Amino acid sequence: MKPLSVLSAVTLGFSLAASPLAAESGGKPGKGKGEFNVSKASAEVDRLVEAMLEKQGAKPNPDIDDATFVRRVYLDVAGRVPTIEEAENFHGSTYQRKRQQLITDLLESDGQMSHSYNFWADVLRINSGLGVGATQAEAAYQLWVKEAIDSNMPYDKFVREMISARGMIWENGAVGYYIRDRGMPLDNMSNTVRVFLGTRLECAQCHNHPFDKWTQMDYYEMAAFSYGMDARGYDSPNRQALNKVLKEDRNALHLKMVGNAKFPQIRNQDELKRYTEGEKYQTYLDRFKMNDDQFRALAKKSIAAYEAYDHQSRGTNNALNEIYNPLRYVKTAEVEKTLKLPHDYQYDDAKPNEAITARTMFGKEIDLENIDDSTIEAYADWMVSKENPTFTRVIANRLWKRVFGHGVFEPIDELTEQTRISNPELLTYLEGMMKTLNYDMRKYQEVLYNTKTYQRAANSGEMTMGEDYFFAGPLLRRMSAEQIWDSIVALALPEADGYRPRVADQLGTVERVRLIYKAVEGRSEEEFIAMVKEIGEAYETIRPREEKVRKESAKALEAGDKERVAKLRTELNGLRNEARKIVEEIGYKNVGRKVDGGELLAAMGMTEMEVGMRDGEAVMTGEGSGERAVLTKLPKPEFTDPPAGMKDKKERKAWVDRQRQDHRTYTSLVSQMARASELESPARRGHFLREFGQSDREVIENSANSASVPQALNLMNGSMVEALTNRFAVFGNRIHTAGDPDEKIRMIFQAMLTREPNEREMNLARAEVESRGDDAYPAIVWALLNTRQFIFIQ
Amino acid sequence: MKTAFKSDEWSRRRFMEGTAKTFLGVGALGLTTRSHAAAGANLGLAERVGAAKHVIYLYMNGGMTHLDTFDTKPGHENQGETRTIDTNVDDIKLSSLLPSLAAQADKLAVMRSLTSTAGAHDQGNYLMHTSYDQGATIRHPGIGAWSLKFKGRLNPNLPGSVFIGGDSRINGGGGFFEPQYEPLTISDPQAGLKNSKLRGMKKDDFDQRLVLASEFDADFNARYNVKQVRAYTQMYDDAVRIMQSRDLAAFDLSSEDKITRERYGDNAFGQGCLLARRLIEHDVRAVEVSYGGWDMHNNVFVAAPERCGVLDQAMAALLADLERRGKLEDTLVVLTTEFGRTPRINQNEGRDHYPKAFSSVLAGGGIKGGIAYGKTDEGAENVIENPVKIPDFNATIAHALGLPLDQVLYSPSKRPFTVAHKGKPVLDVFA
Repeated sequence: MKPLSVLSAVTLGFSLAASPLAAESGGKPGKGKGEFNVSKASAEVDRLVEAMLEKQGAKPNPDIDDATFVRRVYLDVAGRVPTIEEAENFHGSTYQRKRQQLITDLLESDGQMSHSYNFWADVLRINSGLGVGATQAEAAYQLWVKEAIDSNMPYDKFVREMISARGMIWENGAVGYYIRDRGMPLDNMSNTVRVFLGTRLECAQCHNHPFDKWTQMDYYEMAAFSYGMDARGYDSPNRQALNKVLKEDRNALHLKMVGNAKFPQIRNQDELKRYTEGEKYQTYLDRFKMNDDQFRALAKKSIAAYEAYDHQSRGTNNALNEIYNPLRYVKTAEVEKTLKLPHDYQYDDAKPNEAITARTMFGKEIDLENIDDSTIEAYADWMVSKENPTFTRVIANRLWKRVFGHGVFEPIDELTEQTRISNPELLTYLEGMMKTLNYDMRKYQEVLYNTKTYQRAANSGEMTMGEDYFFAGPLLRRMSAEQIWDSIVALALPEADGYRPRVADQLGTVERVRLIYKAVEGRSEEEFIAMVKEIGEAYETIRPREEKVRKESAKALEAGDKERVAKLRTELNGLRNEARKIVEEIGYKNVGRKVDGGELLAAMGMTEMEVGMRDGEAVMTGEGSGERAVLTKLPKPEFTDPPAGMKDKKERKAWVDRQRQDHRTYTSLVSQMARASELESPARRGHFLREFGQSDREVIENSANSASVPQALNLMNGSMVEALTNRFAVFGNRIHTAGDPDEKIRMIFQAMLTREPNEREMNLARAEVESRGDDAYPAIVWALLNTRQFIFIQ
Repeated sequence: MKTAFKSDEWSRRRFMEGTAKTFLGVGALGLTTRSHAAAGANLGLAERVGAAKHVIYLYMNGGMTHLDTFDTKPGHENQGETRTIDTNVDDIKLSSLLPSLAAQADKLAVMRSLTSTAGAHDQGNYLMHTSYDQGATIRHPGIGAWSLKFKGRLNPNLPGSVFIGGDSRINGGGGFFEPQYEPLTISDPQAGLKNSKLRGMKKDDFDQRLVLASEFDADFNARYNVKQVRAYTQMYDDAVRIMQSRDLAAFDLSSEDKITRERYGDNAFGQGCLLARRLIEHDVRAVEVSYGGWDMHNNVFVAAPERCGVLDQAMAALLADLERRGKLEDTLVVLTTEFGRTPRINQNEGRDHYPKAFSSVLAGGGIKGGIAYGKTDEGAENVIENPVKIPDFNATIAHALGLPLDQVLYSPSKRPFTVAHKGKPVLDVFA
């Protein structure tokens, strides 16, 4: 992967001039006849759009100029505005097909990967904050999706791999698809069908769909395919062996103390009550030939036996829990599991609680008796087959909407018999093209971006909900939260697209659980049992120390000595940590907290992926308000000397101090910056991204682009202008080092709006400079950041 | 109980008002939610007259131990080291860890019979906040969003609902409602409203910059004179108005004197409660203050005194202040959590998750003080009197706020929902 800023400055300039062949952006090179021709396909799309417009008595919008195009295409494909250099390169090129070339290059850029990741993360609800034990699975899933995008995995394969994902998280990150929805197999199916087949089934979970044809039976029959996908079922032979030993211990104690192995093992008074007050109590008494008193007497011994067992095994059990804590969600497996109808099933075609056999809701039937592979494989094949009636249609329309801002049909994930298709010929063509391209999403989008339709002025009319749109041009859209953030990041940070500060950490967390798994499960049964018991015994040595502190704490509390209570509490926490350390040392053979995940790259099939760490200064900042610290490495600052004309010693010192202060400011501002896809995602509440509507990834496509007051407050009074105009920021440095005021003003307009100021704007800006001097530049940047022009994509 | 006849037209107008004036969301985003007025259809309850205008919702994250707070069982082996004390109400006893609340028990309706089956944190938290089970296909709104939907905003300059606390994931936000029903979130109560102060410039500079921006934008705004764009212009007007508004002081704790601030406790929860009081005094409808650290699997008798100390001080200060300032009548104060903790003390001197029986508290807002509602058995293990399911508890809150319990609102996916998921309010706790 090439960082785009370098690409544009060097490669792009070169290829524009010297490589017209590579710019022949159609089909696979060297295949000769029958190869896919992007230009022809784009022309056909235009023909179909224009025919429909004519039929409606409407005209296409005028074509856009290069300045509008370059801004739009960078935002749509790379997810951010172009830098000054990138726009300059494009404008400077005399190559005839420079628009095509730019589209092709952008579709292969790091920026595209980042931007598309946000798109899919919103659809798939990929969430890095899923709680204890799931973090590693989410990390693996994220990396897997990014890699799939980066390698342009065909869409059918992408979906197939997720739907049929099995294995350990470090072998196959796609298992995150099921771990994401662990414990919610029915909802998972609803989402699968909605996202990939454009059908809303969730209503039919509880009753026949009120507005569509689907029945509750359809729902359960579909759900039966993936019901066996178990994302919580990690168990191991070692653990089972130990549980067997524990069970035997318990049986032995029971036999010894009760004298009758068949007498029920009762744990406490509650359980005893369940016997004595249960319907079958008399049967028990008869079986053991006892009266009530005798039963109770023996039950007392049974409880005592359990207590003895509990006491004897508590260390081992505590150890076992602690050892397996990080291994909770490391695997998805397909298991035999029968789905039953709900207890209140109300229709005539089956009885409540009846077992359900999987059956497809439409399209080809799957003959479960005669499948080679697993049920889930057969299901996945059916789902992504070219014969599936909606699979292709949905993705063709979803990506069309991504490019033009509106679907050929809407909503894009609710196809029913009533769905209105605004241009049926177009949709048919798009579907056909998607199939011809074998689900090459990049190529498909390349066709769309190369249409005249895309390169026309944005729709300036009012859109009414529910009304058809015929694509006189793309829709005017507000930038997504990520596009706004990433644009600012790219103007502040050098080579932001390829910068991926969290990857090393993410790989490390996955690798750590893999090593833990190896350490724990690499042992023979005997070794494993010995290990757990050893840890259990160590735990038991900590126990009396804990008890001592607890007693002291109770005393201190009684005496009202708050300070001492707090101190003792810290001491207790220390003892808990001591216990954890024992697991780390003995159980995990000291794999370490920080693990190098480099090897995993290859293991996960990510040989090409750049980790994106760069040399330079490491900056670690503390926990901010709602923003987690990111370890950012910045290039070494280039401090300059005061201007030669500055002679006064004091003045020179002030100059130097100010430069240092600027650098400190810059460092603190950008230390938590990276492209949105490379931060904790979704960002935390209150983060810039969330204020502008980044999806919380709780439900499908939950990002928002509506206005809210905190957004305006953030752009007006937040730190963004400083991050942009600081002399150490990429853009700020350009302003700082530019020549006369007019050049600075032009540069600011280019960076913020990707266009030249007009005469009137130039005069306004000049007037600012005349009255304020250098302070005018941040003011102009501020003003442009707070325009509608900046935030809307024309 | 007082009731009022509610005509459809009246409620619809109120409903419209609620969405027109907004803080978080700007512009007339269409009402995409279809509402079905059906007051009194099932439960035979109309809106309460004189219903509470505000709710302060104190959420104890992690599962608040009921045995060591509001449902002690002196003498029982489950009780452990926590002692029981008298309160200012004869029949009510509380844990010795809550001395200040005990002195104000006459304000509290202690509900000791909550019961649920959701025994994992996230599921329990979600259920308590929304009355619905957590799933992966929809997010349900919380009480703040519901009350804004039905009742609208009281102060157009301020957000209708605010969440104060450090948790990254929250339940009971705006759910499937339009984005403007999302609560404003504040992680540090002492930080004020984020980005509401001028940064490195004077008022004149700021005004000049605004002029400049609108000049630069003139052509664009003329070309794209559409709702979506106008909403952003509106948003800037609103933002500037708020920056200059007196209401901004609502977020500023520094205007409270030192004694008051100390009374609430020098910690995030205490200061959050103080901020909550200020916000409702400036007519914010709903404020949630969350306080974590209740997941006491180990050493409960060391951990509980600390958490309870903070809770006791803050909530007692809040109730006393609300009363003194005449706001307790129209402010419902809720104290709740996702579940209780196992009465039986575990091997690690801790208590585990226990949804089967637990406690919550209501106060103010037309609630009868000085009562204990519901009962658990001798070991606090089972509810033996007046069980309150979570939807019932939430229906009680909604009823106190005068929300129509039967009114169905539809999600964008056209699924029908009601404010407390058909729960029945506990009418016995109303004055």
